[in-house]
Amino acid sequence: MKWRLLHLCRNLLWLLPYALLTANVSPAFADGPVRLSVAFSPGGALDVAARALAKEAEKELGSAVIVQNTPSGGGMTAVARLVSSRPDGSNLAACVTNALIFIPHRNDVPYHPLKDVEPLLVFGQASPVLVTRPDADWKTLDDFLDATRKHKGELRIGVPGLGTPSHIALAMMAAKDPSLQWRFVPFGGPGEAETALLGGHVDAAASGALPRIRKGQLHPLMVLAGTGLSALPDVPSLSDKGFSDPGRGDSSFILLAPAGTEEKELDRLSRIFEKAARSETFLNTLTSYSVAPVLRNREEAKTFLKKAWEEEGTILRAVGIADMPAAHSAPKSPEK
Amino acid sequence: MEELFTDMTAFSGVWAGLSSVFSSPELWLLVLVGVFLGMTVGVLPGFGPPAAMALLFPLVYVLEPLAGISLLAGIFYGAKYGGAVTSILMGIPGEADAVATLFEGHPLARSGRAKEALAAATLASFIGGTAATLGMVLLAPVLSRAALFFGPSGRAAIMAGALFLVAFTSPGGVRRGLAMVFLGLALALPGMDPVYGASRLTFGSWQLSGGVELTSLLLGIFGIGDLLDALLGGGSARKDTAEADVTPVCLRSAGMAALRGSVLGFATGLVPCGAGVTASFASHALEKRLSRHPERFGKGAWEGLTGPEASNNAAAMASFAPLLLLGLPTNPIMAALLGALTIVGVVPGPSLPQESPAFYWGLIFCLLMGNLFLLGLGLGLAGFWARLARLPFRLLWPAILLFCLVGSYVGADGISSPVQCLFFGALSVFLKRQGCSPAPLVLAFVLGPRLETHLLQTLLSGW
Repeated sequence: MKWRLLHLCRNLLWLLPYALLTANVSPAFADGPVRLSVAFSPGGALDVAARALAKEAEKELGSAVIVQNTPSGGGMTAVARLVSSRPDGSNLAACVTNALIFIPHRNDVPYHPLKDVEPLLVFGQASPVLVTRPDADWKTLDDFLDATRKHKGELRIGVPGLGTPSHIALAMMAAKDPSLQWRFVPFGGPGEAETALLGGHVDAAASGALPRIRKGQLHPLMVLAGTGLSALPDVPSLSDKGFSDPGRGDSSFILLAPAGTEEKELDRLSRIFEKAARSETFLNTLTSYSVAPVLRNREEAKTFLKKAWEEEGTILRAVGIADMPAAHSAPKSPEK
Repeated sequence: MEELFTDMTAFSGVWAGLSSVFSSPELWLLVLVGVFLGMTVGVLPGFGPPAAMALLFPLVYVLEPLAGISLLAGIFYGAKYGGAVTSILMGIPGEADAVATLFEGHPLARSGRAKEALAAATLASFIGGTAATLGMVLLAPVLSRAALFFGPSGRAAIMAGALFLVAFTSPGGVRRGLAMVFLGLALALPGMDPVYGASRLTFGSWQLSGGVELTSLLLGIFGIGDLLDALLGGGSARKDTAEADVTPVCLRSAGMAALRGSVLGFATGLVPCGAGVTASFASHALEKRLSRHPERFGKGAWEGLTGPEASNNAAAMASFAPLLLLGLPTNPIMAALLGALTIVGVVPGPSLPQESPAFYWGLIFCLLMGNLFLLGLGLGLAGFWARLARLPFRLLWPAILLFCLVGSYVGADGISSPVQCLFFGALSVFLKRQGCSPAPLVLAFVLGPRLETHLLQTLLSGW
């Protein structure tokens, strides 16, 4: 009797891990979980927005949306992985449009931004803010620019990756005024850049975390976009200071599927995610970051992307940024 | 600088953590399941804690962040306990840090005091784990501020230092350890450059464009590797120790030893190197030094059992601090946890307690809770674990093999992962036969891209 009980126990024990695994995995397989890879590391605006969007969309989709972060390369890693994944609607990526229209102009990327991906939705437009520590020597942008000139390219700015909108905006400032030189330190996302700023490892960082700015943990110097932010009325924008407005569409948050996904599936996903992007929960999330609730559906996103891609080439050549070295704003030093 | 963090009020997040733990009963269940599975897998022959972790790793893909990480953490210290059980009963340590437990525990078991030895080890583990978790709670603000001090250059230096330490302390000697570190770094190279995003060493194949998958590496090296090793008849020889008269347990001295071990373990756990091993051996040596009867050590001294056991558990808990606050894993299991953190979208860093208090404090409370479960399960089911440890291996290996392959398939989509998994299994067996320990390899593999990123950041910021 005792032996039989023991035997039963053993068998049950055997079954337990099996049961757990199948119970957890099989429903996910049956409905096809959607994998959404986010192009930046967790903690930044894109990550938070994409997660909020995924959570809302889950309700309609009827299957889980698994959010994974694939930072690095300023967003190109996420897109490159998306392009090589199965086009069955179960693989999506959320990135900032810079990975589609800026980086391919400068880097050798394994995808074509118009041919290899299908845009589903544009769900926000970021205006990164250049922030510094509240105890820094500079309180305004002019102080900071003076300090930059005085230190001759010694000041370090943390950016959420090379070729991201904030990096481009700053590099364009540097391209216009040769006396401005910075060292750009690439991080996996704005959250990591902020932490480095707080630890004193960079002198300024590009971020969009409004709550931290309001709490006084970060001091805003400038909005790295053409127009200022209504949330930060006293902070100058690029055009306020006479710098060229990047103004192109490369700081929009975009949801992508690999090219070759069925038309019906694309429509379904786009519809569901659009509805999620209109939900109150999602819009509330955006208010914590300097992200405007810009919404473009599939058709609009497609035309937007095409137009931005063509404009980008012209602008980049005009500003002389197309062959700018990646990390240093000094135009002479060669890349690699 | 100062005023930034004085208002942080280290404990403001404690309520968020408490509420996140108490608001979800399924979290309790998951921790219980984690601890139970960890103990089971740790006790089963042919398996160490890393293997247990690797097997259940794919679960994080389908769980909430806190739930997933707590489950894995439960498996981690559950399996550690399992290692202590096999050490005491059969003289087979699952992992290096259970070796010190074996010194005293196995002789005790052989002289007929197995039950008491198991109970003492369980209690000591509980004391060590709980003390270290409480230490983490109290020292949180200090630790977090200290962590903020490390920028890219500091982190790159610590990571490089940690890799060297692991290479130097791993069994098999320095030369082999360093070779394993470099192999791990090399395995981390294919895929995308972590800063510029350029593909490298992919040989034009898209299977490699994502790099080597962490899940396949873990399952291959620890799951399939250990399995093949056991099937091919490696295994550790049982030690024959002379049976000796054993003094009855003295609660006071054994308890004091456990407390000393906890402090020692906590301190070593914070240092990024093979914490558990160092801590347990140091504690064993310390107890021997302090004891009035050093001649009893090695023949079943209770202090020599409770000290190291408390110490290695305390070190295990304390090593969560560098993991969460610096993103620095101190052993292969922590490396796997770091991978899991990335998957669930938690960025380890000095600001983690402020940015996601519910997660940080929730995890700490889950650790405490897990310790309680461990105590209950360990004391309550002692006989069951003892019998389980004698389960014949032939019944187990088909299931293990299946789990590993299914797990790696689920972890990353595509058939290339199970293939990678088998390859790493074979590699692991080969390396073990050459006397190399695969731990530095796994650690280097996980740390490689981070080290590279921080090094590049350092260079770009002109240091």
